[in-house]
Amino acid sequence: MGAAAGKYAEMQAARLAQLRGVSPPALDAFIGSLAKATALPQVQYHFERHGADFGAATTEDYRRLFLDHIRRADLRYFTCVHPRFGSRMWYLVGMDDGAVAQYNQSRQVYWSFYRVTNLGKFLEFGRGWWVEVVRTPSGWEAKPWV
Amino acid sequence: MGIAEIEALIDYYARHLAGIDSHDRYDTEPPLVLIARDDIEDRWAELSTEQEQRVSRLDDVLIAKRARIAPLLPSTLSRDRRRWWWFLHEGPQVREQGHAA
Repeated sequence: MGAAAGKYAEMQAARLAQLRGVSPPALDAFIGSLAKATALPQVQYHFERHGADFGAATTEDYRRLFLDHIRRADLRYFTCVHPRFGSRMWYLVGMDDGAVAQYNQSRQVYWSFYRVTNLGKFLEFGRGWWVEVVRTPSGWEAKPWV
Repeated sequence: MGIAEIEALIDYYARHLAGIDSHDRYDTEPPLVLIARDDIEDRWAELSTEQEQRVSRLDDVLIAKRARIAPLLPSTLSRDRRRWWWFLHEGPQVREQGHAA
């Protein structure tokens, strides 16, 4: 990847610094808030793009699947600075079903909800520039995804 | 977790490729498209002639939309030149180069 690797490493370092600058209670409150959303904005738009990924027959089915997903207790949390838009993005990943809820922290809005065909490759795609936020006994901890 | 039916996988590729819109502010589709294309390649031996032709036509669209994908590349998945879609940031010639590799 050459020079690109350096760019990605810088993006990852910047995101890590952002997260490590957040107090543990504030980070805990933020991640807790992700499960409390009651709607996916522009749900019809997202249903038309991704509803079939889940076999959702209606917008309401898709919305319910989204809400069930973000309330799961076993999600993995990845985040990055988006290389095209500069937005702080979060990926809430279901490791058993490949479902991903994407949250745009810069806009404070859920960005999309979709299912990937190959979760291993999806996570590999973020390797080197994403950050994983992991719950530890002492609270949430940001770690480079390498 | 993956898509069992190859036709459904091609449908997924087509649907998400169609979702890449030049004026779109969303970024979700490019990685989904690239990974689906990779999955199709993994199962190329399963494709009928008609399905190969359909994927080839979809690949034409992928090439045409490369400007929307390039900012997310390269990635750690950009390893095998035969999988040219991971190198679209270099230009449209990577498809032919990949076929020749």
